[in-house]
Amino acid sequence: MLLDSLAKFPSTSLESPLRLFCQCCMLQAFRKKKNRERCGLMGKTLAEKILSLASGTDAYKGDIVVANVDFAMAQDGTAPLAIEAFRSMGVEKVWDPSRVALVIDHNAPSPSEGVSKLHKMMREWAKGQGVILYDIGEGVCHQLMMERGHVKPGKVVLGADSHTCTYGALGALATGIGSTEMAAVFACGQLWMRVPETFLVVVEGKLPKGVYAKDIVLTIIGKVGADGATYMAVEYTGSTVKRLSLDSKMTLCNMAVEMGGKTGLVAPDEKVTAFLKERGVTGGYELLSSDEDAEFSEKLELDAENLTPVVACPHSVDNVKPLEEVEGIPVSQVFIGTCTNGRIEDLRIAGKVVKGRKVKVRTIIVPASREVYLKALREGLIETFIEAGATVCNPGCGPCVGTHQGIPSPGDVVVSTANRNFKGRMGCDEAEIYLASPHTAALAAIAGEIRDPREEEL
Amino acid sequence: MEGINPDFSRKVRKGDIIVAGKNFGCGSSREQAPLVLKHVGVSLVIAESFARIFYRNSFNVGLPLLICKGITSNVEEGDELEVDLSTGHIYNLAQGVELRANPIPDFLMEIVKSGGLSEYYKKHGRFPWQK
Repeated sequence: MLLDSLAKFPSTSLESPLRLFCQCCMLQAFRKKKNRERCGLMGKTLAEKILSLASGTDAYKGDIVVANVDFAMAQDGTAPLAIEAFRSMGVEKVWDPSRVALVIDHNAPSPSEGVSKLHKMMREWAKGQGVILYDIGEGVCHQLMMERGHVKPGKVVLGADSHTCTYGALGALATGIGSTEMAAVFACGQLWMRVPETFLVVVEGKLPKGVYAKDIVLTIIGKVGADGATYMAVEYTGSTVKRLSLDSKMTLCNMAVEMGGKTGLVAPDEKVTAFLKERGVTGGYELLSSDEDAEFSEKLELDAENLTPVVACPHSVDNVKPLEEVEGIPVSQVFIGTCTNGRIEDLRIAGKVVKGRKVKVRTIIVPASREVYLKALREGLIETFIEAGATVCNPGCGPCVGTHQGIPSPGDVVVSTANRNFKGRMGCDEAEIYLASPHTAALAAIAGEIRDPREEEL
Repeated sequence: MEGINPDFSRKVRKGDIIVAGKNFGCGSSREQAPLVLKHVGVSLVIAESFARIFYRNSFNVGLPLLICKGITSNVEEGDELEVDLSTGHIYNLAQGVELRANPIPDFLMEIVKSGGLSEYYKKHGRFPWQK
């Protein structure tokens, strides 16, 4: 605890450790008091605190509040309908163009004339309204929202996409809404929200080799089921979670919706501050966390040391099995990418696995953003992938939603690092999709079958 | 619907009620899902629980939903139901069973009555949550 707080206030040679210590204690006490005063007397969860601030009320779970939205996003699968609804409402201007972004990522570059027309409509509307537009090749909407500094801790961020919940890794309350509601948010910058109960997931201990954030979250989903956290905020904590990189925390939060969650959350720390600073965001936000006496509706405790690599088997995300049970299943396609596992950390792991070897099956690798792509290029990862025989596509959603860039055929068995494996998800009803970590996926590409990532150390 | 009931699109009639289990509407933020149900004539969906985004989207396109614990064990395909949306009162005429769903919050009822969120805004010049 003390070490944590010291880390937040870098020492200079002029300050004595004692003085620094006192400052830290005072500051912490002051912060705590400020939080308490602001949020009333009863202990609150992180979700309750954020929605209290966003609505200017003393909000607790179950309350319905009107929240001020800090940023709103729609992608090319949902924006056209939102623009249509916005126009049909007869609203002329968005509430604040600097807080609205449209992203072309789900079908990018466009695979058909019909989609091209929708993209054109988005570009024209964005220009007319003066809102931010991320065009083809920039990356997956969620990765961009975080990388470009649109997500701030303690704020409410809405996106017309289910996996908006990913931004909880930065301590924002972020959730997905539909197109018509997004049109309403574009118009007024506010939305009614039900304050969610919180499902607290505590993971303690050291993760074994070959076990990653993806395995943690799949294990949780396997335990609680695809509706185990319906309407709830899934807050992850514990020593394992705290040690994870931001990339990994994004993986955890990304899949909160796969257990029915409204959002995923991790209390923001100095890693978040550093991430934002790199992106020019230095203030205007608060690092909040759940009070010790906050009321959690559900709690799940996991011992990291007992976790093993797992996969979600066809055709549901909660059909989770340990690696041992699926080892040796022949694979015909591997996909590494998406808002779940297309970040630099994931590509580094995949790079280590395939370096100097050849892939045995079709392997499609899609960096989550231009920034990730450039980093991978500079680190030689892209060269490694190409030399191994993989196909690297432009940043975006890739074949995740079955629109382009690698739709499987009937009978195909796909190992994917994405978040959903419903029947037909990748565009073919008769393909089977296994969801796995980048390590397991890369190994499947090399072996042509599902293999245990613990077999070879990276 | 094709995945669980291949004949659904042929069998569904105007005014039909879908009775479903847990987490109905799971897996999409797309409004097309409730829009299609409304378009083929579904008048109401009653389920044990709904996926969150589907729940909001349905009201926003003017398709009402009721959450009713125990509904799946008290209704068979083809049963005729009498439903009062404002009270959440459900009467299964075929089996003579009475059930109680959570009542729909007033402002969501207002959206449904208007035919959806866009229609509500056009009629009132504001959204239901705005003063």
